[in-house]
Amino acid sequence: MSVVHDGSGSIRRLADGSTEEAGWLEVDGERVFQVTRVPAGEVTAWLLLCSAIGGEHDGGYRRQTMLARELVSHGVATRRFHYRGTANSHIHTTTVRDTMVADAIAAGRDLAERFPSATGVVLGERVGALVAAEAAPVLGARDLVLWHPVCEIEVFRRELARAAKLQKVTSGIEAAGDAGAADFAATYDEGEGDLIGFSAPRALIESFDGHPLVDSSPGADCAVHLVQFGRKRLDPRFEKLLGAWGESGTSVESHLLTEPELWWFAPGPWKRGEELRPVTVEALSVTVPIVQHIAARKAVAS
Amino acid sequence: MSPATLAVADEAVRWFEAGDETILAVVTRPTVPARGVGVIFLNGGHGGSSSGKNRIYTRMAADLADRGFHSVRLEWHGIGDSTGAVDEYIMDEPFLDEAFGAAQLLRDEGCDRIAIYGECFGARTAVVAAADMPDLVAMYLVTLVLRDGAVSEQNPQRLVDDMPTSEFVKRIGKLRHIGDPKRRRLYIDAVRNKSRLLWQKARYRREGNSTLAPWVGRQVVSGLEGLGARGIPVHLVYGDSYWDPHRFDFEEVADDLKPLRYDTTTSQVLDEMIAGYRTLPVQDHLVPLVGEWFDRTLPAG
Repeated sequence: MSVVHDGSGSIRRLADGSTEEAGWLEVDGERVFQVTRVPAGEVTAWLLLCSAIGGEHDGGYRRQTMLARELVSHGVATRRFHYRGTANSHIHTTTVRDTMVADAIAAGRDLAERFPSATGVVLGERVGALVAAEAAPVLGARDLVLWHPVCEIEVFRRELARAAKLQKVTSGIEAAGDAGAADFAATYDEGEGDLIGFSAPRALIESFDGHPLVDSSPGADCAVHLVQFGRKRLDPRFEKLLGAWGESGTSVESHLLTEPELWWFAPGPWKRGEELRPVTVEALSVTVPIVQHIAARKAVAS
Repeated sequence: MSPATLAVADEAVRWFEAGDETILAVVTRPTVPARGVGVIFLNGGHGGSSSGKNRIYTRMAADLADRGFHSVRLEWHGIGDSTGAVDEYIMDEPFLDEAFGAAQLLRDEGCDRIAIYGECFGARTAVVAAADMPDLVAMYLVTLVLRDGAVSEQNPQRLVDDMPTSEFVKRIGKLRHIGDPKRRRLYIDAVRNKSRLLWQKARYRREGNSTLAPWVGRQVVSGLEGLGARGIPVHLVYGDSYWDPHRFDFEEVADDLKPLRYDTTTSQVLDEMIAGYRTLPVQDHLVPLVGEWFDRTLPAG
């Protein structure tokens, strides 16, 4: 392996000729941290990953790294990024829907310009799905993959309250159960919900009000692949979403994982490595073939 | 003090090799004249990225940059964008190569003195790595785990420790459900833990440290002793809640832990839940607290 430092960024070249680049993009004069995995040979598809937020971002982070590393051998260049105001990106941004979508579009556009002959795929996880669906048509992506998407922010807000109840029990904070939920509600009302140390900013959540996923129709030129984590039947909300999009001419399909994910439960040192978690193994075993198929389709077409 | 707004030139991503793995790290440069001191953030293994839970290390790095410090935050192997895999964090098997690699990144940035902020497993790694870091000048350790073994073994260890040997033998002697593989493994773990304790007790007694609880890891004792003898300021911080069990361990043995006699080694129990940075107020409190401590301990010039 060799490493080249390019200003604030860094590129590592692996033995198979592929590279992994990490650094910052600039959006509206602010910094967006990104990591891009690029295959050695022809790039037939690029994939932009729009992550979840808060504890779900941390919980899913390694899974996304693993997906990117897996896809590189199938000719897919994958980019992950941190929304401004979160993780390693610009520190003072107030993260809201508009900044998240702007970050996704900037990160995707840069990728699309770099690989103009490759087909574009956008993947959104949870709240990231609301961002991905908005960015995909702007980027001209032909496929949209959704990992257990949040269809409406109000539902997500209720999930946060439930998670507060449960997590406060499991993490041992004295205010458990209903008291824990009340505790979360109080901090949320004041502007920043506290979920076991993960921030759930009210401004961020409310910025998605009035923007349900169904309104971000990807259009007839884009195929949607929805991956549901856990449960034997497709969630009625997902069924409704796919039905509405299908009627508008979008090609839709769903994939059900048997393994559920404990949303909002970020990994702790007491958990097994991500590589060994059944839900991650299953999520990759379903998602890699979807993207692989898209890349192969493009390779045949060209 | 509000953390600095960092520009592109103020931070750099760096991959570095540690053993067989490639580690991703982010170096932050000072936004004011540099002190020549670099702080390494060693995480407790909570997953996510190098930014730490709710980006606590990004905030600490920005705060320290404002005070003239370089810093580096990294992702342990098996975490975030680093390569490799990790199953469980074993306290007495610290990731030394990664700590040394991070220190080298800071030296490459022109730092001639190294300091460490370590949390939980990161604190254990820091204490052991110190012996091989001649340019180390200070250490801020949050929730330093005193016991050896894996995180998941900590509570079973406490049960075994509290049980007199005679009672332990009586209970284990019954070997109930020994045919069950899970139960069998439990018995093996219990016997291993108890044997380790008895052996360590004899060892501490031989070294004239007969009052020290045998479950205190030898790496901790010798690591803190080495730091104290070198006159390196060490600050130990624990939280004050039922869910900060390492605090109970620390308080139980503090009087017998000889390295604490050094004036340069200080400790503090905060009236908060520190372990795992489980509340936003704790994070808001720690960011300036850590910055101020390094500021005071390693003054500019």
